Amino acid sequence: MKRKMSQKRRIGGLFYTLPAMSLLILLLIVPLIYTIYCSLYQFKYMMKGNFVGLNNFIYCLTDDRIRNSMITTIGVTLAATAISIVAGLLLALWIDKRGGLFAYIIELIGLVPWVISMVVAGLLWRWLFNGDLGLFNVALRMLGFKPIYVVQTRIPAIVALIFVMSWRTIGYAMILILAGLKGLDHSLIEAARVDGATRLQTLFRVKLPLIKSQVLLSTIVLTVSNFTNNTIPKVLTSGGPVNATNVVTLEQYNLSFMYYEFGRSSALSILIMLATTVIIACYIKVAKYEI
Amino acid sequence: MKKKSTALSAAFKTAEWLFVILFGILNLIPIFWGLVTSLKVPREINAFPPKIFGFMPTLQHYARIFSSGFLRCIMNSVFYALLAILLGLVFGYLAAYGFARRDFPLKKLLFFIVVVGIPLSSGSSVLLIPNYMYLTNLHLTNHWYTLPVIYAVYNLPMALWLLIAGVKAVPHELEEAALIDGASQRFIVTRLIPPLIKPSIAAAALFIFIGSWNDYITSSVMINSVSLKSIQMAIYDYMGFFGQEWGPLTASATCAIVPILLVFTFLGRQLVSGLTAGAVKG
Amino acid sequence: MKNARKLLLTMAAAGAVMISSLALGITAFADETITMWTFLDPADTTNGRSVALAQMIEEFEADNPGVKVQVEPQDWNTMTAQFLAAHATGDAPDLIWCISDGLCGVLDAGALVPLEDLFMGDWTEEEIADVDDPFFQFGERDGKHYTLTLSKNAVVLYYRQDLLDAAGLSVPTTFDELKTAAEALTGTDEETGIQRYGLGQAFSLTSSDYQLITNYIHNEQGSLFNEDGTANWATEAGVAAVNWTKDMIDSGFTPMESVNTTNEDTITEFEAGKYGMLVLGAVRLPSIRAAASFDPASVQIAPIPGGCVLDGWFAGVWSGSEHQEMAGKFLEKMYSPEADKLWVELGGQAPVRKSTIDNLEITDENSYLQVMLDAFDTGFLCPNDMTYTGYKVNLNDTIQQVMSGVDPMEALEKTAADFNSANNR
Repeated sequence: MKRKMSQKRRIGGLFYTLPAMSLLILLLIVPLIYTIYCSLYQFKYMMKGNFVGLNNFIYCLTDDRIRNSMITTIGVTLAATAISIVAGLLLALWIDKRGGLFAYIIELIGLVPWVISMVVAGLLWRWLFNGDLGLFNVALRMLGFKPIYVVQTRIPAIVALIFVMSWRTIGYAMILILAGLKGLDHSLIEAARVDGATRLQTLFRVKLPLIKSQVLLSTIVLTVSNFTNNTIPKVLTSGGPVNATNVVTLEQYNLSFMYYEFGRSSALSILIMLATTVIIACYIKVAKYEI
Repeated sequence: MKKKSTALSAAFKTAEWLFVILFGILNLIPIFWGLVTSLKVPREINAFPPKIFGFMPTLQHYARIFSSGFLRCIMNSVFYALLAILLGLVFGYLAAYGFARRDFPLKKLLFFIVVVGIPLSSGSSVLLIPNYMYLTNLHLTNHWYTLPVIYAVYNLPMALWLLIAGVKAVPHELEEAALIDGASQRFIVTRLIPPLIKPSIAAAALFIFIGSWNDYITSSVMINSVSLKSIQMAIYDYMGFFGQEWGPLTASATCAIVPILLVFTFLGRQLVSGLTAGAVKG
Repeated sequence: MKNARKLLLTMAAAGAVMISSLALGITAFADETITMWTFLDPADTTNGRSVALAQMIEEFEADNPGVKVQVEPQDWNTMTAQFLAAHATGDAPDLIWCISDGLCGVLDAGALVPLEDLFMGDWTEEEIADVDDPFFQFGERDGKHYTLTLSKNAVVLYYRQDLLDAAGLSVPTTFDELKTAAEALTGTDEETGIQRYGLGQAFSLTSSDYQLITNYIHNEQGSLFNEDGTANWATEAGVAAVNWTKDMIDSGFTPMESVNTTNEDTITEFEAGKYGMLVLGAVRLPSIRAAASFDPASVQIAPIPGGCVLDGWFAGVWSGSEHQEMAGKFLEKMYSPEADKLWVELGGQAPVRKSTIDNLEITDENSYLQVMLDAFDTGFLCPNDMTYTGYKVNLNDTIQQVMSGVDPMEALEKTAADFNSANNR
């Protein structure tokens, strides 16, 4: 009797997931398979040419520019994501405790960078960083410092790119993690307190494990979003100076929209997807997340 | 001793507010600069030295964007976002319940697809052309339902994950108690659980809304008809072949933030401490 | 729970309202609808070219009852790539404006119909002679013509007459004079106090044509490419061009920041008064005059020494279109002598037909048109026998490298190799 019931429940579980899964498969997985197919052919100007096997992948992996851009991307992505997650987590813990109007203000402030049109935000930052006309340098001059040509100098350009990327997503991490904190069962925390756990102990032993799922999700989403972000690098630093901020999506954009090398661009897309999937797999492993 | 601690807490309070101000400046300065720019006449926008105050404010850029169909684009985007939320929440919640509460064949594989779905959807710009060709072949581009369905799907993995976490946080005992009380499975799924995971639902809805509202690249490729234009496409209009027009560009970007802040105030009540009055755990 | 249900209901209601309004919004029935992709939006009343296009559509629809011209404005950056993708799926617009870099690929893909098969078969020799120029030949393949060029453009030298007058200089016509003038115009602006540079250029990898390397090399050695399509700029002329540019930056006549400046940056900065002269496409003149923070009448343009880089939009009819005849008819309309006048008068665009040019009255107001016409005569288009994609980016890359300390010849060789590899040569 019991076994029969559980069999029914098992199939029932599949039924719940069916609508969502079929949409995901139809609109995400099938195009992915199509992309893999395209990446095996020569596809100049979207015209299917000869089967070239893995040549497109070999091109992407052996081209110096693309290889270097991959390394730049991984560095920038990890740095920006780490800053966002740590800052977002701290902010979330803080305003969860603080509450009230204070929390509302912080949330609203944190939300704005993430909801403004990305391209306009990138352009405005670029303008603010402008050597002569930007407020940043006007302020520096007023304070008696020498202006910094942010976008035109190597290290400041990289810092600016990481800064703007994390600026955009701190609010995202904060609100997502906050959603987890709000869903916590407070009796668990109180129980820990009663048992004599210090604040730090409660935080690390009780709170963080309970919101692991949200922290992990925001880390994954932000990593992917930063990795595949084309807009901010393009408008903020446009890859320069001397490829210092040349991220892989800029190369990918050029392959499709400048060179119309659709086969190569598909191959590079697959490589980007693979790279992000590997990073995600590492996260899941480290976080020991189980479904 | 007591004096010392009140002094300390006062210092702490001040530090807290100082931090808020710093955080505010850092976060809002580009938006502030955009707002200031949107209120200047073209000749003053680029004048040196840059002016924060003391210019002649004008609404000409706002008048211009609203006279060229901006409202229609806002309505379109609101519609796309709401439909995407509806689809995303219903499908996402059902699947989340299944993943969190049931063991079924292929579960690991299906969840793997959800995980892989995150890079596929967030990185949708990377797969833009294959997606476009695939959907055009199916004649699914350039319809009123094109964008809502795509947005729902693109945000589904993230929403799903959030909702799974939400459902998992609901104690099993509650469900079992309801079953013993004679509640139907349907009642549990549609009536019992949803109110208990309001914060997760609100967060998922918020993320789907923002994901749809802020998308440019997908809409610009999937939509060609003027009548279906999204709000981000309208913003991009002002950085066309004849150059960036700072005035209308910043004016339209400023206007585009407002609906999100409204939605946040509406949905955010679930997320903001104090306003929920600690009644989260149903 | 009640709230959640309310929310769902509200959303469903909003959805229903929107769907019905969208359904009502569907265009009225037409016997034949031709769609066109361009970056112009005929609904935009602030842009003269859009107004001109809207008027052409109105006239065309009046002359051809039952026909509707539907413009679907696109992002100009990605429009040609999207057209190629649309062509591959068999569902593309009837009329397309192609970017010059992409035209060779569009023709390779067989995406356009020869105009001779449509309306041009009926044209007399005089009519063809009226439009025959390098732009027209750019869209030629195997003796047939596939495109007509709209919105012709030339990258020219912008300068401020007031500053040149104050320095007692005339408009530079050689690279040496250009340097002298740039030196004279560099300094602190008396009125605003801004540090002004003589010549604005942009070497960011997203800008193209906003520097003078192309012109310099072209002036010294002719084409930048070999017969086989490989890059031919790792040469003496290339080194001279790079050194000239480096000298301008080292002397402070072009700012050091220009290594990663975009053309949009330089425009904003020019409007703020940061430059005495600027390298930029002529089509931007009206918007620059409208936004300049100084006397707009002082902004003038002149041809670049050694000839301007030319560009334009190449409009053709899609080979898979079911309305080729009608689409061709509208293309012919957009290129008719009457339309040419509209483009000039309403759009402020340079005329494309010799007959329009002959009848053009040059006044102080539109003297820039004469400059553009001169630039068309003496300038050069990139060849179109094969693809030459990305060479402008490669040249900008060269300058970025040289300014970071790489030897000019070495940088040129490296970017030439980049170009060859990206173009499979």
